Amino acid sequence: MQSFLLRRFGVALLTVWVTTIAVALLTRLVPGDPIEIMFAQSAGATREQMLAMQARLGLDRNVVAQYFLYLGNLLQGDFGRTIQGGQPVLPLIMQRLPNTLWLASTALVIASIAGVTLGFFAAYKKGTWVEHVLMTSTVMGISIPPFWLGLILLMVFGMQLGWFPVAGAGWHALVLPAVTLAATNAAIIGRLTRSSMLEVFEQEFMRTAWSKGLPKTTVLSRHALRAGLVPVVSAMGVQFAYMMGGAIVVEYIFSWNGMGTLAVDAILRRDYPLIQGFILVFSVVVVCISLLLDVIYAALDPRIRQGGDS
Amino acid sequence: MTHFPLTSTLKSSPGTLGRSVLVAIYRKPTVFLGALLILAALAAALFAPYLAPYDPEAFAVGPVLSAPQPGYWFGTDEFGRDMVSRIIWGARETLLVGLLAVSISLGFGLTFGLLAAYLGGWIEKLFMRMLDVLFSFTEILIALACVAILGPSLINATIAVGIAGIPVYGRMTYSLVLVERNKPYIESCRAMGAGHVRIILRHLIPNITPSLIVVGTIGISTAILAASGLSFLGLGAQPPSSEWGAVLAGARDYFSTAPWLLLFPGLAITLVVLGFNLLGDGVRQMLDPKQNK
Repeated sequence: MQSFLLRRFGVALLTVWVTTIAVALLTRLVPGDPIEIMFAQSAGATREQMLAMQARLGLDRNVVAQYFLYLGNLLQGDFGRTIQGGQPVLPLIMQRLPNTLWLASTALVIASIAGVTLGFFAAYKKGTWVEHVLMTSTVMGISIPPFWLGLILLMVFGMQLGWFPVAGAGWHALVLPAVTLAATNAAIIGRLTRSSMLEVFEQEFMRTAWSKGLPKTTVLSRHALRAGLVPVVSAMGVQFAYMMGGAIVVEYIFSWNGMGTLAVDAILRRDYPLIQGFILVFSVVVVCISLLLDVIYAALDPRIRQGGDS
Repeated sequence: MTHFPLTSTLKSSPGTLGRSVLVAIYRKPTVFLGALLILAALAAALFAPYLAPYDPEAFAVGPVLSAPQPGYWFGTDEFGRDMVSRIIWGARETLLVGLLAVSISLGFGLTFGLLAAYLGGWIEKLFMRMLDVLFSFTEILIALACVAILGPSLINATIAVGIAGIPVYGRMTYSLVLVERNKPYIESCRAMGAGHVRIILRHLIPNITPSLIVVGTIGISTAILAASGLSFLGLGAQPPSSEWGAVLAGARDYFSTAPWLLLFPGLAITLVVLGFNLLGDGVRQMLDPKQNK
């Protein structure tokens, strides 16, 4: 288990470090003059303001000096100020972060429950029309664009039926965005569960369980499901990362007050300090939570806990 | 991300891949449907000037915000543009974006993955660490960062989606080459004095090509979803483009007054993506008996 954890921890550290480099030097890669592009949309920016921003971003120095300037500021908790409004970036993002986390984790729970149920029944009813219907619905789930699904749900359940608010905060407003975000991943988890369950159903210990005369529910839940869920649970970290990514689009549709809406606006306005802050916070959060989920998984799986390396 | 992973190198050569596709279309109704959807989109893309009744960007060819009616079967938008024409022309941009993005991902992914697996040593180690890092970034963040650097436009969104897909195809190629590299026929090639370049070009690449084509077909659907998503956010195709994601973004403002504007572009994306998924997955299942127990 130690070697597994060490390796995971090493990758996490490496990722965060690479992110700081990529983010610090992001403005260098912009074709043209980044300062002019940044201020193109804010009329009346003075020459002094532009020069101040250039110095602030370290664009007047060489690459190495720029990186250490940026890193030094980061370590002091200074993520810079936005071009428009001149607000400090970090508090702006941190204020939105909980909303995004809330959305992504709710969607992950919905996707896992729906996906596992779906995949389990598809495997259990192998070769029947039930499996066909369920598997066809997963292909649909993967094919439908989340942004379109969101708009349709909003139109039907928000406008026509009026069951859920069209925008806002709180758990009532969370339902439609979370379902939209969960749909694709429910389909993916469903397919994963099905193939894993199909393998489990053919195992020796399943025949033993049946022949012992255990009740059907015990065999299916205690023996089959527990074994079949291993690959699903081990993919939780990856699934969470995808939820965070998908949240960006879903937040935009539902005017959800999260990090994603902020990021899309920042990219459209080419507000580089804000974009830099977003990328950094986003990847640190994704890396930390994926790491946490992997550690929990490793602690639960005896094969990893007792010294094996996956 | 591809949602239909391969378990091994597909048992097929480039020559038999074509035949397998035909057999799959003939045997499985879902694959047939997939091929039909792709053909329809291709026909729309290729013959758009002849099929579309109006200029897709011309204003006031019909009434403003009209519901579907004879003559304007999908309705008209806020500028009186014909939605049928816009959807038909949009097929061109949407398919092109998908193909181009996958070509970028596949081209770079193939090169990196193949070199890492074939050469081994520190190159392989470096490649694996890079993959670890890139996978924890998630594709959407990579794509967003690329658009942030390059600026919003359809071609930049295509490049961004292409770059974001490189790790997926890199890892795919890497694992495929790893399996092939240790097979006896490669060893006998080497024993007969074949050089690295010959082994890679004449033996390794042809043998992993069918697998990559199948994965790439499914990958087109992911690329189309990602690129139209960027356009929907305003980070890809810009008005007056008839790229489907951009059309959908414009329709969002007429959400309650003209819901048909939302219906058709979304449906178009769904059907094309479904087509690539059904065709790719059907062929994969046929060539990959391991998954089909």
